[in-house]
Amino acid sequence: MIRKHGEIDTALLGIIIILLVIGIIMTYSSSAVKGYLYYDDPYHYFKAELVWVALGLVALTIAMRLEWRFLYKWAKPILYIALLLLVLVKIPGIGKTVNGATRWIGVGPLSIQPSEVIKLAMVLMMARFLSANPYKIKSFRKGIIPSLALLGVVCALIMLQPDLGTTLVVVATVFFMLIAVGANLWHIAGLGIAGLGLVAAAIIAAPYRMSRIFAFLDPWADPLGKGYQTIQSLLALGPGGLFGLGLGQSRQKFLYLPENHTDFIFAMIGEELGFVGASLVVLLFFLFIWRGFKIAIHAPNTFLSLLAVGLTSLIGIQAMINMGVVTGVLPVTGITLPFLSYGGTSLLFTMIGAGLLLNISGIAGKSEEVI
Amino acid sequence: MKNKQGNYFTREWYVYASLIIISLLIISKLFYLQILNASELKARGATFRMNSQTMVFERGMIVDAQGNILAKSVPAKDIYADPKTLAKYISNSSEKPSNEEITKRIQEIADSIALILEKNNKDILELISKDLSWVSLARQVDIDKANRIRELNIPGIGFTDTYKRVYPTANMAASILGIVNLAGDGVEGIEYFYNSELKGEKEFKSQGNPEKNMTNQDLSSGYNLNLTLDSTIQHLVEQELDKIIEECQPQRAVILAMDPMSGKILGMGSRPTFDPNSYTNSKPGERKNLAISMIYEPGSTFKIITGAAALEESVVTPKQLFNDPGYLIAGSRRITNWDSDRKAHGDISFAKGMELSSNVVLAKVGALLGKETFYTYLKSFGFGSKTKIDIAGEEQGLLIEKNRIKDLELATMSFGQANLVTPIQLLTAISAVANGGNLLQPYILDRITNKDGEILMLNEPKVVREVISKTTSTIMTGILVDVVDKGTGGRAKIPGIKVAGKTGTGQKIEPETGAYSATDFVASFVAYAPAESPKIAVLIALDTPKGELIQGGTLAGPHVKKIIESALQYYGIPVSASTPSKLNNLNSETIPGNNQTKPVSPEKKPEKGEVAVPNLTGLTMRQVGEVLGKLDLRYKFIGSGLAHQQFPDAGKVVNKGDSIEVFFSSEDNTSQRKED
Repeated sequence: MIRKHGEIDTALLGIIIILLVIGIIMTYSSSAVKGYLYYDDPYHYFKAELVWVALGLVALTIAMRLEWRFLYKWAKPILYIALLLLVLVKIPGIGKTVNGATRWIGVGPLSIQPSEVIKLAMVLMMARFLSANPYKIKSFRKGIIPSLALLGVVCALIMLQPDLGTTLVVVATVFFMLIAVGANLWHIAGLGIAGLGLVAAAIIAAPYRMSRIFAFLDPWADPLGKGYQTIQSLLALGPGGLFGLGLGQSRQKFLYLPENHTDFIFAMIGEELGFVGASLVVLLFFLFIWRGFKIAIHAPNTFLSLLAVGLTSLIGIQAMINMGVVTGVLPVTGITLPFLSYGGTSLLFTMIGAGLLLNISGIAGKSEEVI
Repeated sequence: MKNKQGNYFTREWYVYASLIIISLLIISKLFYLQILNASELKARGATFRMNSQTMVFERGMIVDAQGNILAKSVPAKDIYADPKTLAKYISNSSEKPSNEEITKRIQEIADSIALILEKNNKDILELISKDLSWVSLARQVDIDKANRIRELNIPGIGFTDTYKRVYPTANMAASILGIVNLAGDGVEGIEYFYNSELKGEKEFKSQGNPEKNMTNQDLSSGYNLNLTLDSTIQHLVEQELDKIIEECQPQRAVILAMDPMSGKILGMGSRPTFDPNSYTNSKPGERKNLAISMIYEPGSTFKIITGAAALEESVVTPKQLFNDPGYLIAGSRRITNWDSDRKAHGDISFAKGMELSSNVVLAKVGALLGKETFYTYLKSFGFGSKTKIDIAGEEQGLLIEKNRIKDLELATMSFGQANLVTPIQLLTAISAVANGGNLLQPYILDRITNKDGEILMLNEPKVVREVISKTTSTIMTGILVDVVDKGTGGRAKIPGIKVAGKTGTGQKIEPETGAYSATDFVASFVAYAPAESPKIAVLIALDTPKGELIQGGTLAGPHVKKIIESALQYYGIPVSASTPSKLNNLNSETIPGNNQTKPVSPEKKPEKGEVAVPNLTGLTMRQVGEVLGKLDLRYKFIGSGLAHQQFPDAGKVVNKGDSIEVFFSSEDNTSQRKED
């Protein structure tokens, strides 16, 4: 189950490490005030972040050395376990409620979010299903329908948590995988239109939803309520200007911006490091996704190729959605910025995903031996 | 179609194109926000930050059954400094000040701030000399102190509105109330259990108008909690705990008082304790609410349960005779009567066995009951599971596993060893014996109200299950009255009142050896009165007291008596024909000096934030609480009865928030009133 790794994609590894370093620095800068106020220790979150990054690197190394056939074989059981966890977390007494949503399972620091597990499990399963017979996906009945059925079940369970952000990421990732494997583009377009139709029907049925969905476009309408986080985020970005206020000089971090070291770390980067710093982060994610797809193209078989597409999409889409939220392009969904947001299981599972991606890049390097 | 690498990924340009578009979208939005629209956002940010200062939140109050305030949030200020601005100001203030002058000036500023905040001036100096734009100087500072700093007019010193949690009664009921962290969330006790109610986050339907939703009607404050806890009883509890600590220095001590007819908690106290106003100085162990978290082997107090179960199952009658040679061989061990007189008693009745607290008799009763039935009763009385009282931190105790119960275990269980209980479990179970057989849900929250006093939720007594019949309850109560009248519980005897009670001295297990200790015990006493229709049930447990006679009856008995006696007086029940109570009419409005505290001439005119101490002589605790509460003064009560002395004296001018010590006495001291 463990193998020696070949030539991994060092550029991708470099990008990951740069993102992690920025994350560590910004976590300290943005959480020092909060740590001082709540725990009387400005280094409180910083120390925890170092532990999480260390754990993440261990997870990445292990994922990098896993034998891919093991993943192929275990895709189904892993999915079943992930689905079981999603259900278990809703049973009173097992799940833990944080900020009004029951998304956690486990004890103390050993808690995990089942929605993080299902993301990886879903990508694994879809890669296995689609690679078994890639031509099947051309057929609506034999390819698209089963994929959508599985996606529907998984998304329904994630929405139970409730976790809109993760649902979005999973749906978008699966669509990227379908497109990559060669699904009929008319099918995809049709599904897109059907989706829009559903949303339209929901709005016509209850017009107040319209204002709720589009509230983020005008956060100033309700500055102390629904618009609060978006406004505080924009107020952080604005004063940042071209080069930012300088490291540690954020004003919004004085408890004006909630979740500033987790979901809104990108706003802190924009405030302290300015347009230049924020654009650099966008660029790093762009490069990450580009390398990810490159690995997918060079993968020695369809399973690994699709797995790479899925993992890259998972991390890339989450990053893009998070940055979209912070800049006010998307409504607040409550998902983290991969590699940069303060620790937790989110970082751990992102690192596992990145480790698998590096793993595939190593196999691609010696493709002729493998097949 | 396969690509040249041999996989099916053929549409890379689709993904690249969408990737480039999304990245460009985000970068252009960033460009718009940070470059094009930056000045507008900057201006908006400045005004928004100023306005958002009004967003601080007032946590709800916790008051007792009489309406005395136990916990409330008062406005306060967080003080911060901008050392860079301060440095700029000093170096620009006069014509090119020398470095020495700058140092001197900063030193002066640090001194003046430290003086007001009562902090070390070196610490303040270090903070305001930092090369930063923001440092926190002090948190949750009283408004008047903050105003005095504001009057110094130092540039670069700022204030933010906040609230500070104050507990006017200091360590009274501290372990019940719990604590609130700096972020404003309750983390222990009631503050934790009812955190979302105190923060006003929970939804309630208005009682009168079910359509009216009570959420979000007042975003700036939470709901108030009215407890069943009664300050008069709680003072008695705290006072007796203090006496106990003085007398026999136990490691831990706990007193619990509840209304056995309703399950309402009336008083609950633990030693060690702490002052929640400065909880950061306390250790977690000192903050434990032992009444719900101490687990111990209850010893002979548990015989009430064994006896009640045996009577209910009709395996014994009160008059049934048992032979007590002073010992019993059970399994591999020899059981003796060391808890009582350690003597052979010969043939005695079951009732007499309870009176003398004979382990041998109870072990025989337990054997008659049998392990299956006994175990069912333990569960039914609520042992081994939490009572689900509405205070955070409850333990569930530990029942010995059923399949491990052999002859020896059955015998020891019968007189209260082998199983671990919490005080709340035991008193809840014994209340069922007291009230005619119903196991009640113990609770401490009476009702939740909003700022306008509208009741959002009202707790009602709840019967969990019927555990014994009314007849059994009456018989057992009769036996327990005899225990106090003629037996081991004699120290709790009150003339004119029938007190039902039972002593207990439970052996502790030594953690090192796992065997019962020969020197360490938990001495305890449970009692309720008046026996025929009980008003109050009290449990006292002392963990490892020091002294010659370590027995529940000797050590805890007098304190049980004092609490029951005073509580019954307070409830208007004449306790004895020979000593007419002066406390009977406590609640009436006819007490001399009542409600018309003599006007006092203050020593000087109180300034802002100051207040003259009123004359409290002759007032009841409740009245003193009200008077001082209105003046924003804290108080510390000593004794019980009517106020007869106070410190500082009436007329002295003190700062708001200062603590006034008031001495109470049940003697008629009104004649010694000071005429200031």
